[in-house]
Amino acid sequence: MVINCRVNNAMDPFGFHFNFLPEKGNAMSISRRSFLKAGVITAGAVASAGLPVKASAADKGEALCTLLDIRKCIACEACVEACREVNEEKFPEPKGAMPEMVPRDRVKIADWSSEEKREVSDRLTPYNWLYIQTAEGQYNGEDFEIHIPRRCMHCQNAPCSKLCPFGAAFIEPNGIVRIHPDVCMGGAKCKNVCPWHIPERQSGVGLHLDLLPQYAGNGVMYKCDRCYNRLAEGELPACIEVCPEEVQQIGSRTEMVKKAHALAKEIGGFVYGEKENGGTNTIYVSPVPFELLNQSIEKGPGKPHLAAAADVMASTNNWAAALAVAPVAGIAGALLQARSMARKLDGKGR
Amino acid sequence: MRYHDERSPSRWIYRAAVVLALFTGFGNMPLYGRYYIGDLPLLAWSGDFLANVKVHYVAGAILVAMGVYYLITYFRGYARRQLTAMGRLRALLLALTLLSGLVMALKNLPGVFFPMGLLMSMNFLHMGAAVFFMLASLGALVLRAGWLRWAR
Repeated sequence: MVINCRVNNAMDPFGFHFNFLPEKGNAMSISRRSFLKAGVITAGAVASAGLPVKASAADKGEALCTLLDIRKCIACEACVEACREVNEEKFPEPKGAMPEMVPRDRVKIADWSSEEKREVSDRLTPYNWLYIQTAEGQYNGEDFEIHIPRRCMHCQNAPCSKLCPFGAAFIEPNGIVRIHPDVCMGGAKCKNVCPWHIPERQSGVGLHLDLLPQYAGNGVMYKCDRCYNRLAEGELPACIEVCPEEVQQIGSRTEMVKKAHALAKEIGGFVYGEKENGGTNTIYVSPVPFELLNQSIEKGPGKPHLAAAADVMASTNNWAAALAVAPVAGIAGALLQARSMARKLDGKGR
Repeated sequence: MRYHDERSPSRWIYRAAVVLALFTGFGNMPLYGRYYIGDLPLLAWSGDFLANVKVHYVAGAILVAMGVYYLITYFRGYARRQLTAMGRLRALLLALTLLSGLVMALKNLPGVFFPMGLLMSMNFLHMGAAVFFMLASLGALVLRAGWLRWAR
């Protein structure tokens, strides 16, 4: 199936190319639009105007969340193919030789742009934002083989966005976590702080080439953007649209969490993603415990785990209490100093 | 005439907090792992982004507390001591850095989202103000210019 998705660049008020938005009438046919009501459409309307989506746009709709019933996945990779096709326009296109990075032993070039490497589909890469993991084993005395579509979890309080030093990674009010390719320096801090190390780097592209290409930055980080441009047009993300088994559903987080629990109860299954890293907008339901799946799946670079993930931002935010107390401490100190001075003056007066 | 009290422990607390805040501020960019700073003895924590942020918060909190304290005591004693030109410049830049820093810390809380334009603007305002504050502080150090002078 070929999916066409023409793009144009809209400028944001800060002079950056902000959105890659599809023109009407060029995307694939629409189905299951009923999942996407006011929230998405409102957010999409603002986004299509080329403006950062305002928080108020989310007032009418909660963050979008996907629910994956992984019992249904047959590893046909239709979602992987569709993802690559619709997002091809967003993929990096390095021009010329890769810069000589300094220091060479610390800064490795990550180049996935060769024809051969672009085709890699068994892990996450800058050209492959979704892949299928497979877990095999025994549970309750029965053999299982389960396939799990893996991509960015779109965390509710995404550390990649909250800790990006340049603001290149950001969270839209509809819950989509994106990395802006024109702003990202490729330092991979987002990958470092992500509990699943999802974003993947392509060297030889991006803003850093115009600044200090050898000494700061190293390309651009790429990951699933939940087909934000398709959502802005009221369409489904490509991976959901093409899935012949209807593995994924998308809707408000409250609704998806409710459905996930109902499904888990019905099949005696398990939920992953609801509470991981403080809560994500990708929820998996499996008939087999995720600890078992995690033991079985291949993990490593570009191959995220399925283990429990503590809330990365929680410990950081606990320390922010110091900042809340600080002004009070300052005022208290000044009052104590004033009282001490008054006493001294009183003593002199006597 | 300059108002100067080198013996005051608050001066040293302020200096330590400024150095720590600037050091961890730069450490919020992926630099220390790349340029071996995290390999130095006692500085391994600086290569850890999350540890860096926490230390940055503590240094920032010390500066906010001191800022509020001096703001109040300054206006109370305004008739006797006034800010020098270098003092005014540094106070302005420090205030900008701290205020934008507080907004950035607020942004890290769950449920708080900034549109990308605002997020970038705050990032660059915070970084820019901090760098200019660092330069102004170095200038004041070289010129031996104090913060306060006795009022005429």
